[in-house]
Amino acid sequence: MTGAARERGIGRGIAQCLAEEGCAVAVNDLGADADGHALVAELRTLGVAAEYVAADVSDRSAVDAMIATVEDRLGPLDFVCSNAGVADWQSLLDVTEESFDRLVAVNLTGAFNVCQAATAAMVASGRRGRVVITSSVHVQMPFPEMAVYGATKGGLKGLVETMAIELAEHGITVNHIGPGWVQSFINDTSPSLQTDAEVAATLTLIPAGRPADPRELGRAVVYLCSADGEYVTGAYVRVDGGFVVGKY
Amino acid sequence: MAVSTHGLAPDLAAAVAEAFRESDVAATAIVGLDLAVGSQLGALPQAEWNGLIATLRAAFFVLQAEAQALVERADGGCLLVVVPAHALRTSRGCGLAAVGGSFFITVAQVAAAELGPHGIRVNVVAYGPLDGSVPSRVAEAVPLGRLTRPADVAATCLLLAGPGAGHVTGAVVPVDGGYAITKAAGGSPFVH
Repeated sequence: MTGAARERGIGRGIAQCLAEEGCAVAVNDLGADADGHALVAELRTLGVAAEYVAADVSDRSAVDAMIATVEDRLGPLDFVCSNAGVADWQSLLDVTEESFDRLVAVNLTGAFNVCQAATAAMVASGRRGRVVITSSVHVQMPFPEMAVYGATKGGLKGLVETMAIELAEHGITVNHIGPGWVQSFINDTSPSLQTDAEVAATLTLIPAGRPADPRELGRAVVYLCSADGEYVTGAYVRVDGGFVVGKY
Repeated sequence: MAVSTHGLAPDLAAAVAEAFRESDVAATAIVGLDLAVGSQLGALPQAEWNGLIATLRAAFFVLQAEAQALVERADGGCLLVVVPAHALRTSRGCGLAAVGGSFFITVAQVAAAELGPHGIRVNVVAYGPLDGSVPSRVAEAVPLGRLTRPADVAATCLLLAGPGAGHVTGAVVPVDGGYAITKAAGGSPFVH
């Protein structure tokens, strides 16, 4: 479970929901060791095994080492959730090379690294595994000032759909979830969410009238990883309070 | 002719130059992604993935520079992004084209949203498997019964650059004979 440590984050909600279903959980993040260890301690109180494994998903050798460590400590992989992501807000004309490289490395190459390494492990162990990638509502509705972020999420759709085709023969399903607005770390620097008035204005764009609880994404992942989700592959499950369906 | 092209496969670039030769469309820049098919993602060497990322990076900053130039000219203009139709419907072995194409469709649509106030339109042409680049039996997966020719792609680029498409922006236009609608029976035609 990558990008899983931070308070209020989607990954943390997914990790909690999977642990409540009895999964041993490897919590991955970067630069959030204290949060990661705290989450692991919390998950263990649920009676499941849990480990914190810090790694930079954009570093392939670090990802390979992480997968080996997880299988060594927790056993063969059944599920992998590629959730680590970063965002910037810049107009298209102002996107810097540094920002482009960082967002693409974490959001897109990171997902490729994690999915390729994890599914290779699943094929090797003969597990009929499940892959769930956190994409975004940007897959269907991109936003100004987030061209690169949105594009990485669009790219994940291509990754998911192709891997779904290519891995079906191994009994592995590959899907992505589309969170709407979550009050997570990644959105703390959003220029449109800095004041109470801006938050209220954003809420008016969401038919449900509230942000998502990370656990609501977590329950969608539980479905995709459950027996009920066995026939679901190459799919996009949007959990956004209706954010995408109406413009205003 | 006021068109610049970047990143297109040579035969597409030649067809575009031919199509635009006699035209008097507004300033137009075309950014293409020439992405290989054939490698499955599970076995994809890291170098091939890194090559995709390098292609996307180069194309993004070319698009940014062309957009900047159009904004500075302050006379509208047209940006076209040309991607493989695998961005719309992928297939076994077509992961790089699907990822790169999907990435760039989003870039184009955000560009359309941001540059609209400058009178700059941004659209996407999604081209089907090109005649000569894939086994001829792939044509069996094309409702119009033949593979895509560079002239097909060029003609639609010209259409989108012209005044008839003056209120069209953020559109993704498949030029693929219907390839992306559905698939051939009997599995992927791309893997032998």
